[in-house]
Amino acid sequence: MVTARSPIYSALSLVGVLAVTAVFYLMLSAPFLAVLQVLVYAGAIMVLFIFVIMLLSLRTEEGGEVMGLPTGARRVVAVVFSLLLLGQLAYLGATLVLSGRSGGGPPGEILGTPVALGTQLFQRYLVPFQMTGILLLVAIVGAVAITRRHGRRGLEGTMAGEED
Amino acid sequence: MSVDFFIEAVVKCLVVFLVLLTAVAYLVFIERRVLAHIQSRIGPNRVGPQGLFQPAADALKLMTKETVIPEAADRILFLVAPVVSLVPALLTFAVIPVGATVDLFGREVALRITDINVALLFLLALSSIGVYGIFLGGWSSNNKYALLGGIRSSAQMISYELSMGMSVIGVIMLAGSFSLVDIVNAQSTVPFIVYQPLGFVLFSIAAMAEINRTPFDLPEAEPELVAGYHTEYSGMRFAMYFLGEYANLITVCAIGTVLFLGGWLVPWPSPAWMAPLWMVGKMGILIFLAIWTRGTLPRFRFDQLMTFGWKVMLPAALVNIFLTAVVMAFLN
Repeated sequence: MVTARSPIYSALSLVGVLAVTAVFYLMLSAPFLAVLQVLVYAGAIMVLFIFVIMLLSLRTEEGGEVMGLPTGARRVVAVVFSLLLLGQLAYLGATLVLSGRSGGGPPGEILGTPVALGTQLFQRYLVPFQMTGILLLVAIVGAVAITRRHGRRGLEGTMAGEED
Repeated sequence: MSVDFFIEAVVKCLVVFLVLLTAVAYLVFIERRVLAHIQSRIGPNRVGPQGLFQPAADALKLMTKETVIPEAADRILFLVAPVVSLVPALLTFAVIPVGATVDLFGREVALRITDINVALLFLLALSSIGVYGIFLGGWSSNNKYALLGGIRSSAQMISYELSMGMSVIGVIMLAGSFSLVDIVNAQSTVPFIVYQPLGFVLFSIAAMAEINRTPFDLPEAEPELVAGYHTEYSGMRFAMYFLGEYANLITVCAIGTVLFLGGWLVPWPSPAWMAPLWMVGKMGILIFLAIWTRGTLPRFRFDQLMTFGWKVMLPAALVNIFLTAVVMAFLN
């Protein structure tokens, strides 16, 4: 069900999806979350994503055999799966609308405004919040440690004149 | 939602749009004149009285130039990238207030297009979106210099976005709100630059880096990278990038005025319709500072720039937040 051949177009489509998600948050009266979605996810994380794609010069996917199926059969399979997915979403939507509930209530009261989100983060969910911070720190330090080790060994090997 | 409201909104948008575009065009002219005087020369003064029609001449020239698209360039992204760079720069003025309220045609008109309760975050989000225009332009040009310039520029922008966001947290703490109108009203006694000098300095530096201005303009410096991400652009597309850059300058000066210099408020009583004039006056001071900096400082090398952003600006911003919080906790 991939419609874009170039990975950059796929990444930009994801940015579009995130923008629409932000609009959904707005419709659920959570403006803070909407702006944060754009600011952090679409504005920073996706930028790094696209950096990686650009710097690694990921090539556009050539046409060819995938899963041992020729192009025509692949298209048919893709269309069938898309219809299945759409059917499931339509079913969910229909049951939700028909039952009259609003699907769980708007998150506006507990997560929508900065005050609300801050209260939740620093009172009710304080420990998970701090643990997440430590987890992210561990991930960053780990990434730096891994790259440094390879880089240093490579540099030393070259400069000392050793054969690789 | 009456028709009146709709008409008011449309008129405000049109006015802001036209004023902004004219201001951007004349800002280029003003910069050339001021830079010239800093460099002991005169600058453009031939076209019209004192050169005041120069922007019109520039606009005509850029509009009549041929748009050259490189053959191996990614056509769609090449054409879309300048737009993605220009639109957020203009869109920020949807939330920037230039005054309180005036009585016009029998209605109370608020001198802003809108005000949302997360306005400041909205501005930061828009600057994050502006980054896309830069590196998409660089990548889609299918040109080594453009790609390098684009990547460097966007790396610089996302690094300094962080410092810029954190440097204004002190202001948010003092005002207690993300809404720009609330922040200006909280400065009715003392502008925040008095309470947040470090925050102001950090914001100025980060803002200059955000908009790719000297001394942080390595990605578009001619001797370094031909012209960086807009190497392959000509005519109207280049004009869009150019306009976007100067519109960004006006935007960050407006944000700086609202956050640190008290917006349209002055210590003496003044009628409501003069508020935009005070605001423009304060913005003019900041814009002059920016142009002055451009004419005075040499540019940073890229690694110096990144080191400065991550190792100096970010810790300084965190220290600023900490100090503000400590002082507030002791005094309240």
